[in-house]
Amino acid sequence: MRNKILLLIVCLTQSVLFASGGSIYTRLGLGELNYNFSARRFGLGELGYALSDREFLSYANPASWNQIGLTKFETGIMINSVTQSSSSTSVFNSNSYYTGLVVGFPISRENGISFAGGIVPYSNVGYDLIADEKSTLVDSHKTSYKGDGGIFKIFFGTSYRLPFDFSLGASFDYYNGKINNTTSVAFEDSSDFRDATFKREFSYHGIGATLGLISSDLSKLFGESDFKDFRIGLSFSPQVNLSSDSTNTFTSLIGDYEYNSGVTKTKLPYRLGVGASFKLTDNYLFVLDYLHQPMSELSWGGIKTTQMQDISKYSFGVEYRPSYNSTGFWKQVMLRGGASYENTPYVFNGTSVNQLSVYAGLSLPLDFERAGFTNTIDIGFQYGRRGTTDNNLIQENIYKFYITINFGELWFIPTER
Amino acid sequence: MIKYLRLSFLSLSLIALFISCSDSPTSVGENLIPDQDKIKFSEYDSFLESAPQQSYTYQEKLKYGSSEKVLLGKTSLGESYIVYKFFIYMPDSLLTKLANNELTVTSAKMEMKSTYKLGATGAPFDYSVHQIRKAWTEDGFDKDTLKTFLETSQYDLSDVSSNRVIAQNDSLLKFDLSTQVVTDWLKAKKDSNFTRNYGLLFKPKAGTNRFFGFDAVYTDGTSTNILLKIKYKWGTSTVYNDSINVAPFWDVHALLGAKPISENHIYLQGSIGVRSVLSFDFSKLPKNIILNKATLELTVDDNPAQTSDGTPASDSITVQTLKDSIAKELTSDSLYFAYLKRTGNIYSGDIAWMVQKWIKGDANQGIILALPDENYSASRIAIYNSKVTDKALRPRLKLIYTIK
Repeated sequence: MRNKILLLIVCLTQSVLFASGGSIYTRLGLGELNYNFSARRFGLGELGYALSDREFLSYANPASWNQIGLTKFETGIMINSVTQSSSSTSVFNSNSYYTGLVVGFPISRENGISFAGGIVPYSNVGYDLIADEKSTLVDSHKTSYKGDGGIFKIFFGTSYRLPFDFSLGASFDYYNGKINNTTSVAFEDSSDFRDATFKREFSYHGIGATLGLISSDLSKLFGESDFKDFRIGLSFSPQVNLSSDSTNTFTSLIGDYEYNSGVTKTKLPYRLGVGASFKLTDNYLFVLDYLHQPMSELSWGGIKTTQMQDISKYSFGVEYRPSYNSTGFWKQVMLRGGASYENTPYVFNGTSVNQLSVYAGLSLPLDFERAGFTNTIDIGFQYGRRGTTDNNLIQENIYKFYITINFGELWFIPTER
Repeated sequence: MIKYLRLSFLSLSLIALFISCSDSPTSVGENLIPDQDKIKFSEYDSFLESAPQQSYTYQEKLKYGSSEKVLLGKTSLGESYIVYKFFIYMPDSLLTKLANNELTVTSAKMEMKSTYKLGATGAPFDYSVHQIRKAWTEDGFDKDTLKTFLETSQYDLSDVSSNRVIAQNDSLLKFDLSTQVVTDWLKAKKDSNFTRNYGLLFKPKAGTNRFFGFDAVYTDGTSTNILLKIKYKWGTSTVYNDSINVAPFWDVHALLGAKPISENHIYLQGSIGVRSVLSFDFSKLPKNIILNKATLELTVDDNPAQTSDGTPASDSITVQTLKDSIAKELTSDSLYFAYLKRTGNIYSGDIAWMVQKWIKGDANQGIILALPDENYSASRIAIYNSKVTDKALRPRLKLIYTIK
């Protein structure tokens, strides 16, 4: 029964992992990249490479699993709303999709050995625009540009606590997914011109890995009693060579016809994340992170695009936790806030598309009669401003709302009697 | 844990399903579509491109049994014959009286309302009517069947018609059929010594220079355009008069004529199965394009020495794709026709789906051009072919296509 439910979950998740309709920027590269999946991480500015959690899961740094206390399960949805504005008009899109699921369980708490795995979106493509166009050769018509799909990542890995309280983690990552770009011309019913549709589908799959390291508590070096649990984290995902099956199809008045299909290699550049976290008293947690991914090196069959640039993302987050050992609802509500600045992977006509975001979030305990967290509902909100209307670009106001459900249960560790 | 999993997925699924609202797509972001990703329209004109093309005329043997009209007449295009068969019903009591010579057929008049004409009004037209002496059927009836009729004397040479007139403003053919013919047909129902009713053969006479066409009859015999009106009487002390109107039960026509030959023309001609084949070389055309329109234009040589059209006119041409241009075998989807309509001296129409198939990779064996009324018209349409010196008169294909 348990296996059947998990299988159903995987199937459901794969089918709705990607949204359609949204930012035209996702047309470029592999779409909009995801850096994390849980509402807690979003509330802290999306990253959190130096965090080791007992109560929460993340896939950004496999070393973070070293403190998992219970078998944990996290899943959630994201409501993604974007207002896109040009210099003259604007359009609003909103949709929702699963942010994936992650399961982790401890094997040896003493040695920080835990296993975790899950399925999460790596990138999303979703745009839909229609333009009235005119040509002297044909009747008036509408041209539509649509894109959907994305790449998801299935991962599983382990963590291990090294001597001197350093933690190490590694995960095996399998990338898979499809990205469709469709361009169609539609004439009015009264026209005797025939419609035309070109569709390009890329199917990606490839194997990668992620290595992570989290330092021991370095706060003692500073000698401040309220400055606690200062750790530095590092995560590195080497370059992945994705196998890309491309299929080009056109739809004419005689139906669909496949042409120019082939297989090529897509070079997905490495991703490096560095972060630091510390606490002021026991109640305030601070995180600082930096992510770098040289997406200008993204290439298909060795060919790069001039519309991609390197990603640099800087983020900051703070979390307030009233108490670790108290019972009661309000004593266990956690509040978060954060901000980030990012050079997105997109560049047009020499104009870089950058994004500034602010975040907020909270965790609501589900079993607040007990001290410590096992089950929570986490909520995160992101407001971001991306791009500019200069140089005929698009400025986007991004509103993302995350809900994550986080359950914990004792599965494999025998309880002491 | 499993309970939690179920609960969470059910609740999240419901939320994900219902939370989605968006404006209709707009053009916001169009500027970010690179030019190379945009759809472009292009034009290809076989005339401007001097695209190689081929065309020729051939003749197909037609089966006339399913023709919608039957034609009678003769011009330089050929001569057309009609055969009719009548099933005349008469009650057995009356047939007995006829066998005892107590019933007399007093008149038999044939009226044929014309629905097609070719040739000048008032041009010479005459014909003779003969009894057929052998069984025949309209199934599979073709020009060879007719030739056999004529060459092996399967009809009576004597003309059984008289008082032939063309009435009602040149639209109704009338004549008197010999009452003896009808009497013999009716008596043959009871007595095999009399001549059986195998029908009538209508032959155009020498000097005729026009065609008349008549609606073909349905097998239920309900036609009122072609009627044999028979009157008869019986009785001695009291004379009874009665009449019956009989429509043909079977009818078929066949036109004997030769395929026209010209250096500068291809031809389409009705009733003798003259069709043409046309093909273009698309090697200069880009691959992987989507056709938005493909207009084929054919120019008619209106010189009366070349083109002779009837009324109603043959104002359209059917186009079908060839699978084998040697065997004239059509592709499996050739049940679908493209039509070219005539405007002035140009036949034109969209054949995009055919050209699209060739671009997709199907063998380009060309197209067959034919008159949709080729079974029941005598029209001859002369079209300038692929070799005529003035290239502007040659068949022309204009393509508007999408490429990305």
